[in-house]
Amino acid sequence: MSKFWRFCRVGVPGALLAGASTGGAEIRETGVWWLPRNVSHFGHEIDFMIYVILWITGITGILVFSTMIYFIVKYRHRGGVGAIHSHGNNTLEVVWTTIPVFIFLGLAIYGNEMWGRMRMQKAPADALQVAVVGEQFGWNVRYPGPDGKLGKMDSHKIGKDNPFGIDPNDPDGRDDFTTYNDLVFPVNRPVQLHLSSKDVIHAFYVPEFRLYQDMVPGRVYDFVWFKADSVGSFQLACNQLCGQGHYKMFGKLAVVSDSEYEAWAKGKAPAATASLGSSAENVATVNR
Amino acid sequence: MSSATVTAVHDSSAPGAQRFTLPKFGMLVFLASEAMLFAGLIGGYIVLRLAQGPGNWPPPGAPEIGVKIPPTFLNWVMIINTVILLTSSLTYHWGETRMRKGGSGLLGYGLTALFGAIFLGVQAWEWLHLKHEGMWFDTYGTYGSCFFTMTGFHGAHVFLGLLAILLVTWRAILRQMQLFSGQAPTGSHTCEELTGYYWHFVDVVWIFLYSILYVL
Amino acid sequence: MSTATLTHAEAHSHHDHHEASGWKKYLWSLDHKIIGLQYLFGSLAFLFVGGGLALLLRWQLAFPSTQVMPDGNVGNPLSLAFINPQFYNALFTMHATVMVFLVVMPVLVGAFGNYLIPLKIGCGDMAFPLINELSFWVWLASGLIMLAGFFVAGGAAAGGWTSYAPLSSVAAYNGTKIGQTLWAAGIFINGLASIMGAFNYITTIVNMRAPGMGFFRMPLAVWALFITAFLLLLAIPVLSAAGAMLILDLNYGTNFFNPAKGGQPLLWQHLFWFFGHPEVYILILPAMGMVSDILSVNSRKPVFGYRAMVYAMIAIGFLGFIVWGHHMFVSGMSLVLSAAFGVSTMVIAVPSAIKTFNWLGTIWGGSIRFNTAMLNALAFVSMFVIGGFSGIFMASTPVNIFVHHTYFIVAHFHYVLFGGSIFAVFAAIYFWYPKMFGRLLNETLGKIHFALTFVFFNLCFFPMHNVGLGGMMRRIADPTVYEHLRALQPINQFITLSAIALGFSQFVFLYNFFRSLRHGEPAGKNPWEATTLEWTVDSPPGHGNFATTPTVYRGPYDFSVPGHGKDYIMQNEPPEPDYPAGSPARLRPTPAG
Ligand code: HEA
Ligand code: HEA
Ligand code: CUA
Ligand SMILES: [Cu+2]
Repeated sequence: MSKFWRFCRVGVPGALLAGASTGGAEIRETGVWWLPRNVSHFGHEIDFMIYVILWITGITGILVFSTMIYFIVKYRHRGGVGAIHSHGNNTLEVVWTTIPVFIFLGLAIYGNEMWGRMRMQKAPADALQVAVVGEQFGWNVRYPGPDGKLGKMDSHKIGKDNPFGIDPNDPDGRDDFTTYNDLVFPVNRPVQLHLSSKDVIHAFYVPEFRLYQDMVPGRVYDFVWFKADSVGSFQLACNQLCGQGHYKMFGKLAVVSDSEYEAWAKGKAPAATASLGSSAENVATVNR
Repeated sequence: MSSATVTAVHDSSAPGAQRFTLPKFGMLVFLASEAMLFAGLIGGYIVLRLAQGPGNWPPPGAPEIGVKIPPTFLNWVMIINTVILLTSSLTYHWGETRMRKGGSGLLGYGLTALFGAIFLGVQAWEWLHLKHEGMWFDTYGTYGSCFFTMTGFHGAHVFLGLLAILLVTWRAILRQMQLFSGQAPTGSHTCEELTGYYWHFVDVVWIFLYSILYVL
Repeated sequence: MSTATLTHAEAHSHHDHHEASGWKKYLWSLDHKIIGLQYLFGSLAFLFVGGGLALLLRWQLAFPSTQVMPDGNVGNPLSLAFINPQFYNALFTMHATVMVFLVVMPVLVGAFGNYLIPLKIGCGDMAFPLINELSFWVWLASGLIMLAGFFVAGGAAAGGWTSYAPLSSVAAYNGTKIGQTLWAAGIFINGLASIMGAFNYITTIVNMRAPGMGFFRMPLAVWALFITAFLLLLAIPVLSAAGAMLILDLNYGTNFFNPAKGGQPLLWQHLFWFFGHPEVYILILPAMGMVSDILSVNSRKPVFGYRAMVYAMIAIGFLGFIVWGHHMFVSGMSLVLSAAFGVSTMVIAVPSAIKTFNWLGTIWGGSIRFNTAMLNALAFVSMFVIGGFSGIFMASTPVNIFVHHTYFIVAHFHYVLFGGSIFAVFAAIYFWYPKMFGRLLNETLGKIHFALTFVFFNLCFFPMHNVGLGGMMRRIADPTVYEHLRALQPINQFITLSAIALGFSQFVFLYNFFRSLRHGEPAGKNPWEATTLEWTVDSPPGHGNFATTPTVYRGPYDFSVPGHGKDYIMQNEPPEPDYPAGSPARLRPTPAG
């Protein structure tokens, strides 16, 4: 690309704004102003909730702002017309206290019902178990091998050489395989995550999954699960400030068909007993 | 009649006492803030301790400070130290009563200063003793951290209180000298009253700290 | 009897300190008005520091120095090479710290709290003038300590203004041991200043109101500051405790937040947000109070539902202490607790709704004067509503799973903090400047400043909602490393340009502010024809404020009372016997004093 183009790209944002979707190398599937595409099963409900609140606040907003503008125009100071004298109105107070109470309680109850289903309900038994452990600045990922069982994770055992806190003698863990910054999920199959961290807090964030979860060191979270309902490739972003390399702590994430997943998994060799994540280079590379 | 109650705090019986109501009121409000400081520390302690699970507090191998039956030597030391601190509140109160009645209150205040100093001294000894036994801010996980931070914060408060009490004692000495020369003591009691509030507060905090750090 | 006591208390404060002369007066003065001005100038200076940091961080977001160009070249011709990722993190950490602890809190509570409380309740000074002055210098010291972080090895704290442990508490993880320690020490010392102010205000308001100034005759600005003082008093010490633990963890090997040794990283979050949520109401309540006053004066109408306004603020104060968990929905704390915090957060929006509707009620049927103060106050209301609406999205637990820690939240809190608090600060400055300096600010410049600020503020922060919903994370030094964010880059550049325009618009204000000190139109005692006590005295008020202690006969907002010649009645104006029966002025009980 020419120097001129480069100058235009960074120097003339107005023009750029118009050419947003053509200028960038990657084309977002959904335009730049609104939600990204959603591929997860709970994501639809979350989007729905967003729209519910958008409608409620939108209508309230229109009412509030049009009233305000109307008053501002109608009651602007004009010679000879004084203000009326009023200290308030108790009926109105009761009305505009009660209505928001019901709206907000309704939202809270509805929201928590959803929350209960997404977070407090156990993942289905056939869910693929995947462990993801963050570290400064990358992702250790561990998949169950042919036995379909993930080695048991113990947060106390998580350490430099044992990112997943696995007991080397646990038979379930023997055939597990690991990757670094590389996640593949089968489509239409529930995936249950086992999240933890080696050092500071990181967060598992995939906007297309409508999914965010902090990963606090010293704990293993196993309540996050989801089902991707269409294929695609995405980025897993760390979304909790974790140090100077935070901004580029991301991983490759693909949702593929079942058969593709099986093929991918087959090609992976079981991890060494204690399963070391290959985390050697990452600290050095963030220092520019 | 809201308007008539405007200055309720000013309405105390002795005319001379009126001037001091503002500082007293202010001190009480300030102590609410101090209480939240310790509430924060104690809240943190409770969280950390519960997180350890039963049986792990104190962690294995850590020096025992919890009260045993029969009490250990260290237990006795801290029980007596606690009694000393609580007694110092009584002696302070006694000093104040004497002072209000026209005396100097020197004995009461002097004893308070002495007890306060003993308390701090013993506390310092306990710290050194525990350090010698291998327990310090950075050992035995959160056990050491909590113990030293909380007693440290409290000790700092006792220290400030002790400085104030030394001032109060000095003022009592001046009053006593007036008495010796046959005059009635003059001057306000604000300093004594404020110090009293603070000192009693520090004692009450110690009751909480002693209970959770040593007894429960 | 009560009157006698009060004059006594006042005489006392008069005799204790005489007015210092010349420049000394501005360095060390026990007069609440001077201390208020010290806070005002101090925090305005810090506004430009905090804003400067914001512009630098915005620049990096638009033209990242870390960017790899499409042609494979590293770097961006417009980027600033000295902004590396670590420095970027320090930029937003210190930007937020400065804005919260050194701008909005001190300007609302320190400057206007100090200036207005004694004048509005009719007394000569604060209860403890010495502690008052001390609090200013302690505050200033805390600011310098925090900013000193930029000049030490490792640089300033870079863990976000929330400083989540263990990133903040382990030097090996953050690389800013000294900076982070200075940050925590600064926060601790800043807290001391706040607490000194808080118990001073509470003591003053409870004990030193002029005769007749019942609690329900206090202007809402005073009510707001009163409630704010309680929030400060009870919330700040918890942060101090956390800050102390952080310093110990970082420097002395304690394990409060160290999971490997039994510490709990979430403990930091609980302590921080137990403070942090009341804190955000500390940053908005005084603004709400002052805006209520300004709306009422300029609509020539009493505040609609005065008591409802007071109760709503008290409710916000109480509820503010039980909603902190909404910052931690997705932190991994107990899921049941998250649900409970979701409900309490929704509930706390109700008093804000009450306030909004009463503001609308206040301008309803008014005779509105559109001076600059009023325009800023109206902007406050509308921007606060937008910020509040985005709060509702985030308070919904399932939606929070998606929007947490994205630019949607950055949009939310700038709408409430800049759109809310800062617009209210501007409103208050335009409104009370004449009282403070005896001259009016220039209205034309004021309106230009308002228009520029309002437009660029919205252009800057509204699109953040969109990029946030579009999946952009906050606290990332370079969005272009993400494929799904690269297409958003033009919007980010647009936001940056708007931010720069917003920043530079403030020079109009600065020019107006300093020009009017000498060249402004003389204001007289009561340029806005307002009713509260500060407008009964000279501008600027003399030492000791009131020649004789005023007596208060009515509520703070007697505007447009029927059957009265003027459309406003000062609070200290005695009732006339010939008011028509049923007129509110007549119905007030006369004070005993
Ligand atoms: C002045 C500061 C201020 C104020 C007033 C508020 C007000 C509110 N805030 Fe905000 N908030 C912040 C400052 C503030 N906030 C900051 C700084 C952060 C981020 C901290 C960080 O992470 O760095 C934050 C973050 C934050 C979060 C965490 C987000 C996350 O990290 O995931 C949440 C979640 O619930 C939240 C909710 C709310 C709610 C519900 C209100 C409510 O009080 C708003 C109520 C107001 C209204 C709703 C508008 C008026 C009402 C009506 C017109 C009535 C009718 C309305 C309806 C029927 C919808 N805020
Ligand atoms: C009262 C609080 C307040 C105020 C007023 C502001 C004002 C602004 N903020 Fe602030 N901001 C916060 C509080 C505030 N912010 C908080 C709490 C955070 C969270 C931090 C965290 O994540 O930890 C944050 C984070 C934050 C971010 C997110 C960073 C990130 O997550 O990566 C951004 C990005 O755009 C931003 C931008 C701005 C801009 C453009 C302004 C503008 O309004 C500023 C306008 C400028 C001025 C008013 C001054 C003008 C000065 C000049 C023109 C002089 C220039 C001179 C020099 C260079 C010395 N802020
Ligand atoms: Cu890991 Cu951010
Ligand atoms: Cu909050």
